[in-house]
Amino acid sequence: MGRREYVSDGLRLDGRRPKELRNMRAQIGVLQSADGSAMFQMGNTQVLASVFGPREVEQRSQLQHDRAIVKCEYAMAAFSTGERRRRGKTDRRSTELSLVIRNTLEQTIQLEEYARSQIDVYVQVLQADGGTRCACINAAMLALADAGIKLRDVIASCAAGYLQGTPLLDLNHEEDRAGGPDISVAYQPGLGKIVALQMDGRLPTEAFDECVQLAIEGCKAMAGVMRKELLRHTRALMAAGEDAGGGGGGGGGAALR
Amino acid sequence: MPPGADGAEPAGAAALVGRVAAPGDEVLLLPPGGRVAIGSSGLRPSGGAIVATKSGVVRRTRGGQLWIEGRQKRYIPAEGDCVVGVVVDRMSEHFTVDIAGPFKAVLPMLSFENATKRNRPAIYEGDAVFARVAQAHPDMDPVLTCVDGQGRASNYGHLKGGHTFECSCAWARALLEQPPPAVVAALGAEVPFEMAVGLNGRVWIDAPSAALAVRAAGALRAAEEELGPGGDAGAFVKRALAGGGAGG
Amino acid sequence: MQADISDAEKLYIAQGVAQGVRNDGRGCHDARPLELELGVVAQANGSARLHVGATDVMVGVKVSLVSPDAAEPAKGQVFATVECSSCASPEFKGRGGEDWGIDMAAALQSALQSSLDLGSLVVLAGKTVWAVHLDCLVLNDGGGVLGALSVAARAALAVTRLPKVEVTMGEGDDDEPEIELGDDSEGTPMGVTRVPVIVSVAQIGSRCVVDPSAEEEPCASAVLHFAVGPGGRLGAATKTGAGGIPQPALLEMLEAAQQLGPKVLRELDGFLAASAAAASARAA
Repeated sequence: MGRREYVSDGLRLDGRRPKELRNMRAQIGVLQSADGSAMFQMGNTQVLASVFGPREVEQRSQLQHDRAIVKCEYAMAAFSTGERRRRGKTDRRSTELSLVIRNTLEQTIQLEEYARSQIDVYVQVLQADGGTRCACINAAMLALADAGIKLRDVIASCAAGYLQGTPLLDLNHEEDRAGGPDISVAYQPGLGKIVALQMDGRLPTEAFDECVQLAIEGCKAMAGVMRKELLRHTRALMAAGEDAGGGGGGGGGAALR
Repeated sequence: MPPGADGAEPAGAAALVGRVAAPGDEVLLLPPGGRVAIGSSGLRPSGGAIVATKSGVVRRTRGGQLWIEGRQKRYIPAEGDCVVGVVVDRMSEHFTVDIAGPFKAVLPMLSFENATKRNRPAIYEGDAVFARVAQAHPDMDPVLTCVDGQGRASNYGHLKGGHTFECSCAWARALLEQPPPAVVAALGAEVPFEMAVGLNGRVWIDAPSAALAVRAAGALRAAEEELGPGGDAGAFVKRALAGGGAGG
Repeated sequence: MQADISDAEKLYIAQGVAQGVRNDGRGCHDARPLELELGVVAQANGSARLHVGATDVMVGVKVSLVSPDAAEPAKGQVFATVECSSCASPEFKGRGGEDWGIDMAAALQSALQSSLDLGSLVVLAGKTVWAVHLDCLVLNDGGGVLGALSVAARAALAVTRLPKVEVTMGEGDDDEPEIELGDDSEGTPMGVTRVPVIVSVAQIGSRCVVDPSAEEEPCASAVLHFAVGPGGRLGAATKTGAGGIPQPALLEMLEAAQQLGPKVLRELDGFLAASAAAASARAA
């Protein structure tokens, strides 16, 4: 049996071109109880996120007088992977991912606006087919925006890999399993900042730059999709409330004189 | 839109009012001169521009202040808002009240009409109260009061009996507008009812019987989504009051 | 965010129920409408997502080949798990909601074990049987979660196909037989006609209501969960809640459940038939 071809005739196993993203779908406000919620789907990977807060901190010892604390929990549904597996919320992988997501979000939320409070972010993987880490960050970002939490910028996350000499955007599970290097990036397009970066595997230095650049392009495209969905959702909400007299009182604002 | 007082209005400021923005969107490029003051309104300065920090519609107050009107679910208290809360704790000097905001609110025992150290209000855990936000400082728990500026109760206080339902903060605000939405008048024509609207998205309603109050609440709640601006409020209310209960 | 409900409000809900009016306009014996989606998890053999009022649940079914239990060599195996997603409420973070999940999983598992034809899950007597794993996820608790799970479970099982299996017997007596799995699409459906749905009946004051909402559940002194099969056949019953139930009320609650159960089953089966017809029309 020969080596498996991951790219042949310029097409990947699932028929995509090397620099093509999978189909994306975003839905905002999908859960009733949460202050903010969203579903994000890339190909067969599907993640749900919900946000509760800002609310009172649960453990007073963790209270910060000048900023909010962010709590994050990552969970995977038992049916989400090809092989059925029930995993706890506290195994190593879940803990690591919770930390990565939390760290990324902390750099995006205007924490100083929510002194003494706690913001809870929960992500639930419904289907895992490669790129769950990125999908989690994207879903969480949309849920935060839905909750009206003030953000410095939108944030989007995307991965790129390098297989058989070709940089590939947005790996699916099959490509991920090939064991090649894989870089996931979270990026703030407005500020032009990389807020999270993780690479697994070895990669030539020249290819590193190329892959990061590719992942950033992917992030920009995703941010575009997410922004569009946010605007659409806001417009729909506003239209529903329009006869309710919109306007009303406003808080302090940016006064132009 | 009235122009800025000194006519130094930055170009483009008027055009963007009413537009929808997402976090990170540039709302306004800063003018080379003049002053810009920023409050906590969903906008922040970044580089040479004012950038939105949450999604919503860009609005401007009469004073020329720009802000973002969002539609988030959670209530953020603001001074002067009337709210419907539930007492969760009775301390020696104050009540702790859940107003569905980020923090529990404090309602001092003496913030009631005729309350004295010896004459404490007969309100206990689990009771609903209608109150006004007296202080909403981000560094402190919000403080409520059940008296107006003259020390009178003026409708604030313990909500006895009745039924509370939750709605969006935007709908609560709409119910308080003058004149109120048509559904309120239409409901009044059918059922005598009493209503206390909290800007925190909680509305208390009481009617001669529990069944009527429950149905009236259902009509008010459903009107937000189901009754369009041009809809026939009278027919809507009649349908809502008649509906359900058949199988019981 | 579910806020605390005041005592006055609880009283009011109870008074409303006493007068035959529920806070969402339903009658005491009316269930909420079902909103069902099938095949929502690509990686599962069968899956369903169900919205009932504010309640939102998801069920994925996965089948695998295992060796049978030594005590019951001629029976396949069915397992159910229920996880409460922290997306539903901060209450469920960490190990929160675990006990409740175990409780509901036990109710589902016993309902399935007594109604599925476990003998039909045998591939090779004494050697290989199908294990059916039913994994449930609670995404929002809007009341009546157990009932919603049972409906979603029945729907997910109804669309599950056991992959086609080809068994090649070895030459000698000691050779292990070879088992080859076929494609999902040409598999055989599982017999789910006898699988019950669980109907919850809550006692509020002196009356009972079916399919209680999240606001009604805290007002109930006790809730009875009946597993009701086709024709109103009673499969199992459990009681939750702190209060006692007078005996005459018990019979009234049972009757309500036996009336509602077949109605829910008919609605569900109608939906399943319609979606199967639509799928085969698409395939043709």
